[in-house]
Amino acid sequence: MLRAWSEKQSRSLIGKWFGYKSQDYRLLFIKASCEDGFVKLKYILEKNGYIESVDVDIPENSTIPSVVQVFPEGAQMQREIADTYPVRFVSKEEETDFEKEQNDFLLVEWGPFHPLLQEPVFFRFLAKDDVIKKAYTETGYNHRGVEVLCIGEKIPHALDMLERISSVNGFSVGLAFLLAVEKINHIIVPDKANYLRLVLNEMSFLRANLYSLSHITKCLGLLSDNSAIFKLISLFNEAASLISDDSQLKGILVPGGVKYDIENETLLQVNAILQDMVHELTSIRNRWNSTRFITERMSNIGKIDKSVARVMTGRAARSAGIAEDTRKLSSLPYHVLSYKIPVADESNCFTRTMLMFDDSLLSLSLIEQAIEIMPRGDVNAFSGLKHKGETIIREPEAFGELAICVGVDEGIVSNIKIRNSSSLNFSFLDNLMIGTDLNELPLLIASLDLDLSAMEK
Amino acid sequence: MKWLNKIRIRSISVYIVQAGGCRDCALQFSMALSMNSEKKGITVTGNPKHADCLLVCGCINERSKEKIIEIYDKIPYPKAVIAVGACACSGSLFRRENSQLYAAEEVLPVNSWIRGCTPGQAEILEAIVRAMEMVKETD
Repeated sequence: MLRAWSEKQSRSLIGKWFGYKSQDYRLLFIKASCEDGFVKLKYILEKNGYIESVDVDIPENSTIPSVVQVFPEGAQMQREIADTYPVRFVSKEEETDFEKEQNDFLLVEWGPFHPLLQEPVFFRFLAKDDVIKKAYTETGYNHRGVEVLCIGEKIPHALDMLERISSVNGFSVGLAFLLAVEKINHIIVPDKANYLRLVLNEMSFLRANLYSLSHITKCLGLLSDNSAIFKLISLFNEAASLISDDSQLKGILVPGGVKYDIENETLLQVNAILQDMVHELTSIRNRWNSTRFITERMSNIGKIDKSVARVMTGRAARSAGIAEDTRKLSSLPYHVLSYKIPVADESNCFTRTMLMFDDSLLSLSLIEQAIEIMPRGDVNAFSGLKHKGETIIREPEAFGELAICVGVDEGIVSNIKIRNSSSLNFSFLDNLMIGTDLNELPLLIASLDLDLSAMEK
Repeated sequence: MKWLNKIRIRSISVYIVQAGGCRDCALQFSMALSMNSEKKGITVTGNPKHADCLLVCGCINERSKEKIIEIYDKIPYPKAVIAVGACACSGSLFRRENSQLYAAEEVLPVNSWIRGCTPGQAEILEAIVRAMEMVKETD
């Protein structure tokens, strides 16, 4: 039987959230654990690098207010907790009863294994005249399984798993994890290793953005452009093969730096191959920009209000004019490079796609700059993993902000929680789909850069 | 019945299942297809009833297991099953005791295994062609 919190307790909790919200705090994580018949929830909030937390202990099988009414970005994290722990979150919004309403609408169930969405995601729509009136998305638990598997593992084993968490953001997750481990163990990474990590990180962003563009070209049915993008990916693979056997750049990162030194000549070769992409990317971008069929079709899909975009991350936010610079969060030497974050005025499918091109070009420029000023010296300064502690690291990933909370005890992972950009942006998908034509849905989803890999692994 | 097999020669339709994983194997296949599909005559289908070959990528969990069997049953004979990547072949790093992950061969009769994380593009296409030839010969 479910026990509800008293009205006073609920109001007090909501009041705390509102207090932080009014001071411009954002929800970073919701951590949960279950001990002695109590579910312990920790709402971690962040503002300009300052971390605050709201702790709640509730008896098992209780109901508490939903955080979504104050921090809508927490919907996905909260759903995971509700499915994993004996607690129920109560929201004022009523859930759609699809069984009841299907007499009035056409019920379309899409997934979980549609070839366009190669993930365990299950969509249910109520559609009228092929236009979505209500939508409900059911997903697995993003990274939850991998987080559990990492606990109790040695750092290199956990790193191996985290690098395989996602094909597009695996490198960034592995890097963020290592930065957290190094921070706890007071390891100072040599300059050259930091620059190499920056180059490799930007290469992983480039790869992710190229794959995103390939999805968009597929959804638009532009087969020749799709082929051109795949040629760019093969060019990337050629450059990556000079550094590593693996195009995802797995296995290069180690605690204290990078596994092996990469000669400056090799880096120059890599840069020369990558810079060949600039012309092709610019020409495709300009062609799309001047093609009415593409601009008109895409501009009407997936519009996001600025108020909603403010709590989103990545291109969804930047296309609405919010100059979110996730690279500023990084401890890598981005501050010595000169760059300007691409932004647009209105967030829609077209502007987000144009930002994909701009972000790819930005990554290429940053790679070139970093290689030009690459310092000499050691690439590893590993001094042992003997400390104990927990820290939160915020790093950029290809699609927005990545936050990772890592706890380490003498080289063993004691706690890990990953919140990628998709965990944040996914919370808004249901509302964004309303009013969209069923035919345009793949395009909308592709433009949102949802990286739903590692669901329920 | 060799003459019958000759008549039946046509392009190979592949149905991809991303059972839950990093998705790189499926991306490698998409890439291989976009660069070389005409050479091998391989196409992707979104309907299992039109497919000849089932490509299983990623770790198979409780949730995806049932769906994969459902999809396999819908594919008409002769059909081939190919496990792509370390996750589908063995569960890779993620398989532990009680982790409820399955190797593809525990769920379906697999004809071909492409190991590695991540497997090469050319190997995936080659395996599809070989597996289909093998299946048609035994049919």
